[in-house]
Amino acid sequence: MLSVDFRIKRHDFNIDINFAAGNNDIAVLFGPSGCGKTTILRCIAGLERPEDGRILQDGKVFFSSDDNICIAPRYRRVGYMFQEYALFPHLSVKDNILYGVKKHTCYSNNLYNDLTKLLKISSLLDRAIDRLSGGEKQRVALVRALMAEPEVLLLDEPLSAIDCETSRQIQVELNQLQRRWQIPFILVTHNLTEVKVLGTKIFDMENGRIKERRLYETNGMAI
Amino acid sequence: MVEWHPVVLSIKVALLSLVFVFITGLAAAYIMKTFDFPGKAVIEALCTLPLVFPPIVTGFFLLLLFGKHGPIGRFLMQLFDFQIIFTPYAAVLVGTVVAFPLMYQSTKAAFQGVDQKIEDAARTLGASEWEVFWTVTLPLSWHGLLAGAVLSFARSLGEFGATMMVAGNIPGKTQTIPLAIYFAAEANDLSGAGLYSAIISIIIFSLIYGLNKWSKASGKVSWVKEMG
Repeated sequence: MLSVDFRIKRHDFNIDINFAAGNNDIAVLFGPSGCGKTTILRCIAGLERPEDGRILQDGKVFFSSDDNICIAPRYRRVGYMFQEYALFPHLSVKDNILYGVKKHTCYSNNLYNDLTKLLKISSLLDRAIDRLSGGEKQRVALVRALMAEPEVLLLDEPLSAIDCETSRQIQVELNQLQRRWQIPFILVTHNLTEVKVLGTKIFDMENGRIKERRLYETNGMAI
Repeated sequence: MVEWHPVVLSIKVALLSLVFVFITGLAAAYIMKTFDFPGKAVIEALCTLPLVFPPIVTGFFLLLLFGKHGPIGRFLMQLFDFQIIFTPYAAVLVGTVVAFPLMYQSTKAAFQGVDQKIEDAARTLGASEWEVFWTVTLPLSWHGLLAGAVLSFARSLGEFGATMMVAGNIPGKTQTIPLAIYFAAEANDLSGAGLYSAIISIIIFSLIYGLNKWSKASGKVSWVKEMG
């Protein structure tokens, strides 16, 4: 269970956020651009430090202003798929995927084979990043994040730069991955279709605050 | 008959300066990019100063610092019984100081040009700051570092004013190509001056031509356009 409750100052408004996401949840932060969604993901990942509050994952303290704790990103085991994927342009697809693997074990080899098959990128492994399409980059970024065996997965506008058909396929794959991985997925979007298909917990945001909370038993429910 | 010592000495001085400039420029650019500390703006200005100072002023300050009665010169004399002024090492010192801002600025610009999201991605994948630097920042800045190295080498090779003040013009010992050109022209030896000028021009042209060819081949924009 990821529990998020913190405040951070921005230029034009303050972010004051409070939500929780369980291991079966795809929690969606839904709102217009500039309402603070990405900043929230960055704080969960440890790339920005909130002013005060707490961020906990299964009892492990990521951030606590009271105890003056702020764990570095590398110790949080938070997978992060960035908006424009942030793949390493100087590395091949394979090297990108294996970047976060510290020890090559039998388990990591199996995981690598499973994920590359599941997300249909087995034929792309030796390719350079600049020779991938938007959908392929998206899949590589997703596999790369999961290969580091995260305990939380953050997805920043994961489907914004790809066509409708690829987007539909990846939505299905994300649902499959969540069911298999059983970790909280936190997804940021301003696209209503993604919210409808993916979200089990939906948080409508406005100027750094949650305006409305909608909870569903399973995803794919019509709003 | 052309005297080759100034050519050999100039290349040695420029290469040694390049080694020092590469290490110090890289370290300074990394520190300035990564850390915030009081007085950062002052240090930033100091790092760029030798680029805009008249070389003769840079030479004068180095003479004050490294001369017999200067703080560093006295220290070197007491500790190692070594006097740097009017030796080839002084030419290396001058080359390092005058070329440092070019390496520093090129490296800093290259570091800043790396997309921060890519570095952040490495952090979330478990990389320490040092690993982020070695595996992401440095490989993605390589073209900027190479451009800085070529510019620094060319700057050291062509240094005249400060070298004249700190290393002097001792033929066969501290006389570099620019000094040899100046004194040959002053002695009305125009063919000697012309020959040295041609040699230094060919070296610098070859370096910049090679760099531009490499930049285009590796898909990077010509550094001349980049710096402009």
